[in-house]
Amino acid sequence: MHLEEEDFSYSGEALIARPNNPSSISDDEWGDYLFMRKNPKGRHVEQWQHSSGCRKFFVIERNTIDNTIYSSYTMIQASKEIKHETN
Amino acid sequence: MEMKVRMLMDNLAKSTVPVYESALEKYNTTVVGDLWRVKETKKLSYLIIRGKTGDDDFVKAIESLGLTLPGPMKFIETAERKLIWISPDEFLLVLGDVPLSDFIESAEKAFKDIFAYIIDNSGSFTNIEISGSRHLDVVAKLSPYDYHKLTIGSVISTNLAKAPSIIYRPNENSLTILVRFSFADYLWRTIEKASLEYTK
Amino acid sequence: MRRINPVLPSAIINNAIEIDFIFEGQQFKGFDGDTLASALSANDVKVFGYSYKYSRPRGIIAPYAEEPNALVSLEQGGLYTPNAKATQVELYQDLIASAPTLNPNSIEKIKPLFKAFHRFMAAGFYYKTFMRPQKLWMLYEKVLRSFAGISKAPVDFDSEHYDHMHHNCDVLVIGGGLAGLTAAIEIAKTEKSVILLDERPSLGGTTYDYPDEAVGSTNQLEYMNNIISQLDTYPNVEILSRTTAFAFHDENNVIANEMRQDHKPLSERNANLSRQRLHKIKAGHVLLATGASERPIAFDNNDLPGIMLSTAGLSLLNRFSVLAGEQVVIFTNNDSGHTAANYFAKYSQKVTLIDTRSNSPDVALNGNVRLINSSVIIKANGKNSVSSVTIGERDQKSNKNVLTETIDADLVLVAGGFNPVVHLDCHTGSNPIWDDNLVAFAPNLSKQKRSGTGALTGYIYATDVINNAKEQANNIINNSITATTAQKNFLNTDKFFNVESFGGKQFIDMQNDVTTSDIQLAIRENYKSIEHIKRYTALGFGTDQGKTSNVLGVAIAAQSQNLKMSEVGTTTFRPAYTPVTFGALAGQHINDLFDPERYTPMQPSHINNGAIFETVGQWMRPWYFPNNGDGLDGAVFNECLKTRESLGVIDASTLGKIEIHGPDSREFLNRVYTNSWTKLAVGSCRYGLMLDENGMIMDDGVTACLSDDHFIMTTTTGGAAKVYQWLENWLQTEWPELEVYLSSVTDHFSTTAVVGPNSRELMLSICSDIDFSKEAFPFMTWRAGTVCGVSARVMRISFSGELAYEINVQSNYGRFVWDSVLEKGNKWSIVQYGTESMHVLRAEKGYIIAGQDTDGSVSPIDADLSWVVSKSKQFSFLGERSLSRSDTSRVDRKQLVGILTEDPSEVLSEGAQILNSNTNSNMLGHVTSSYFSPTLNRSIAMGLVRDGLRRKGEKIIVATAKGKRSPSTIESYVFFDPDGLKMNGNESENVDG
Repeated sequence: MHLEEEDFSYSGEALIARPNNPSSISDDEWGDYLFMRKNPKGRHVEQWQHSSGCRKFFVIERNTIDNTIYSSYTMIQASKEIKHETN
Repeated sequence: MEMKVRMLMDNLAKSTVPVYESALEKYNTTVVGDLWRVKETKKLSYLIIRGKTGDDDFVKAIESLGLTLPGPMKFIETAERKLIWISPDEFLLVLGDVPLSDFIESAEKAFKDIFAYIIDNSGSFTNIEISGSRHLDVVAKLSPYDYHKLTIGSVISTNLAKAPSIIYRPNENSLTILVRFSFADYLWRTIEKASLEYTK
Repeated sequence: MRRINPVLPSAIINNAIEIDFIFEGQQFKGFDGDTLASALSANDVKVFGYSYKYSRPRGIIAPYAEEPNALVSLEQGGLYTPNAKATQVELYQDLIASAPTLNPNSIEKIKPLFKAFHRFMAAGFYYKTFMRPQKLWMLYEKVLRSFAGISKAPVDFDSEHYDHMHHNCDVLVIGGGLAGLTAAIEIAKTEKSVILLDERPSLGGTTYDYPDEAVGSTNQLEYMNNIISQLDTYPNVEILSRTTAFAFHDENNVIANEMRQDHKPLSERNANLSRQRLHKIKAGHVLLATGASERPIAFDNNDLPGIMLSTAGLSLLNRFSVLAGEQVVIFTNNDSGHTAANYFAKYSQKVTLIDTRSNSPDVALNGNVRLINSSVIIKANGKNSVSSVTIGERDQKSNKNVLTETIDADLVLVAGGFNPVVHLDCHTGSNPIWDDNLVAFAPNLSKQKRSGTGALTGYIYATDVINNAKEQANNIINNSITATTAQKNFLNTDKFFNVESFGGKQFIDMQNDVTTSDIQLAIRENYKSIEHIKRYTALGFGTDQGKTSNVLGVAIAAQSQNLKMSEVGTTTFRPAYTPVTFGALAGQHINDLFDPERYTPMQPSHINNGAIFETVGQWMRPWYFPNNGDGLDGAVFNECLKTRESLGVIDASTLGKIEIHGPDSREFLNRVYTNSWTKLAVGSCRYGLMLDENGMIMDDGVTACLSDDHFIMTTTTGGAAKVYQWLENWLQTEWPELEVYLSSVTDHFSTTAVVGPNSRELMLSICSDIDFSKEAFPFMTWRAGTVCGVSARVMRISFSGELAYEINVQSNYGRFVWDSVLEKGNKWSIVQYGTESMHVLRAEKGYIIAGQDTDGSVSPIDADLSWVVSKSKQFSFLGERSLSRSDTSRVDRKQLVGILTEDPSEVLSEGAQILNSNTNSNMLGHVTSSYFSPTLNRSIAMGLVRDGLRRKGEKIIVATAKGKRSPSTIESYVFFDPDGLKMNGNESENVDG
């Protein structure tokens, strides 16, 4: 059975790692972590939660223009398989 | 549409022994008919079991309790105990009206040194079984899934109208709905309205 | 106009069943199967209303959903239905209808008086009234508003109900005409699940308008009826008639509205059935067979009643056996006009066929049809309906028209070509494509798992339609693709949209009185884009949504700017295709089912005890308990005093409860709360403050330690779901290495909080296996035991500053415990209290409510809660870094303080502004909480004030928008018992423990 979109909640850009040592970074760098997001027109690697179901967070790559979904990952898979930027 | 007058309920202080009430106590939750039937089952026990599916220690511990871990979106019934998959690390165990302390004790013992836990969540759920030749039409008013495709032994967690619910198919002819206590009244009234055209 | 007897063989009416109905207060008769339009036409009613701007008489011009003029109001009271199209209203016994703009008592008497101003009322005039002179705008508004609209808005609640139903199918066929039916039966044979929708009461579409057209040895009507009876036998086919697909969303999600009971006499409507049903369909493949609708040709005075589309006339004739005129003039630019002429020639006295083209098709015309080629209608003549037309010869070179003769006519049928009904295909973002072969906008049909057939894709004649439909069905079955849009101009349509004007009004959009010159004016005023033209002129704005006017509007825009049709393009097509009543959209989600009303287990007792409720999120919580019929203030007074004096009880079951399990539980709590949890002893509880990563207060609550790897966290009622999601997010996405499980048990526990100096006494009377002495059961600890015979966890925590115990038992026994507590509590005059008193009691003690005193922009420092923020935790907890951000650590931030009015009886308004003085109106902050305190017998308030913590003792003015000014002073927000003596042994919080 496929699952309905309404059972899921969007959770923003994926794989944004929290700075390991927040007290050692500047306000600007902290602000980047808090607010700056890629917001692309096109392919976007993002988090969703199956909020009405198993409540697990997972990662998909989705096209923000036409909603094509290219791939999906569990959180563990995503952190291993997708290259991400650390602050 | 006429709103059903809810009956005033008894003052329970009159009783000397603890009185169990379901969330739907004020309603007659037994409905019979060809097209539409409902039956509420009260006094079941609901236990949350946390543990990771891929963890061998956890699987062994589960088996030592006489249970089998179901696969994703499935449930397994053994000797009147239903173990329902909720997530890769969460299961819901449904037991009859039995004393829980023994079972919880043996589970806690089995889980003692592993990352697994048992939690009593018995107050959380209201259990409604629906059947009748038009019961799938009633559900179709409340949820976009094709419940024809929910096979026996399968389960889905979703919303019915706006109530978070767990729905599973125990047999060919019926569906069982587990809805949270605080949403049960809303769901009951929603289902009543949705089934009106199928009741005589 | 008259009914033809005997009834035509193709007619769908049953003249054995007569129907009585009332229109505009007059009794009429019609037949079963009639629409309101056909029945009134049979009774020679031509005028259905007077137009919006110019108050010109109007009649029917279109066959069905495209009708712009004949709008009626049906029934009254809870059954009242505004703006129904008479062409769609199915006649039923005792139907009551009125045409709102026909009523002589209405504004319609006044409108004609505006004739002198008509030349100032061209397109854009309304918009210009906004500009100058500004002072007169309100005057214009009052007058112009009364002109607008047709039916009055309903005032009574809809007495019928609506529902939604979800469907999943392999193939959805939209349109039950010849094309849709032919395709559906082919697909049905493969056992795929098929849903077929059609907006009309019976299947067949426009087959009924041209019933004689040959298909092999039979006609298309018979051929089609054959398919219909076959379709009925397939169990995998669901047919929904009276169902209009009005929205086509991504992933083949189609929404359609079914009129289940609108056609039934009021006395036969079943209250157990919904009146209309919204079908939400998810299809593997969507086949659009929505057909094509006719468009007119514009000429002067083309709005006179009696002038209509040829399909409207054919529909009346062939479907309803109503002859709309005897002296018929047909104005056409394509072959269908000739077909129409042959139908009318059988019944009307005279038929004149005016063809813009110089060459005519090889269609044999009935003997009494007079054909005039290369000609146009210059203008129509008549007062309240058409009486004649003046025609002219069309000079192909100069395109000028030379008046030639005037022909008597009581019916003018205009056949200007056909527009494929592209709307649904466009909803998902594509635009239709101008096709010079079809002389129309053709559907794009480029999305996956979607295709079209029939007139939608340019197939007009029955055999062509059938072949194309079979081909498209095979494409769906075999997952193949073949070309769709027809390559041939089947009707030899002339690219001719409007006749040059001779000074009269030439209407394009009938409902909004938009003329050719209006569109030309818009372009001259530089509103050149078709989207601007639409909005400037109101072209296409009405309830007909421009179905007969949009393409003509594009043509005029193209002519005026010397552009191609494709260069002008169309406006964006959006749902809904035809109007949908709000009730259908809401479905069952109305009144008490609009949103879940969540109840605690004690709810029946609260009702028995007369509680007045308020909604907190989705929960229904007792707000107050009226005492001897008093209102809120009196009840709160009673509840607070009695609780502090002796004993009170409140239902606290709604708070969120999350079980936390795992060896890393303490570490997890350390990361999500501001304070330390490393040393919290088993059996103890602690207040926790939760910040977002911006350093702002998000939620708070008490968390209890049940064992080293087991805690239970409470959240605010409204924050439960949000906090749970927040915690899961961090655990799963950022700290998957932590061994922690989070499980919601909000519904498992009920919580009865007994509060007040006699709470210990009460507990002793209902629980014998817990030692309630101060030493054995200190503040901020919990104990397990049996309360009223039920296994319970009792927590000694307090939100009121009084000695208090919270009894947590399994929900199913919650009401029993509650009732028992009330019973036993009578000994100490126990009082039940609700959320209002709860708010007052906590405010007296200066306890914040996250979401009331905080709004997402208040840090713990701002809230004077620095004592809860640890300075020495190893892990940088959520929000910590932001506390030292330059803006968050500013000294003049708004800070939470107490406010006492000079007049102790004055209760400030929550949200009131705080000023320095009466002369300086710079806002310093606002009031967040405000009550009358029964305990202190004066008003108290909390508020956020710039630099408030350093301003204690200072005077301020609290101001409301209505002009009230209340002199007050900034104080501490702990108004009562600042040393916490009433807590009976309150140990101070040790944050770093």
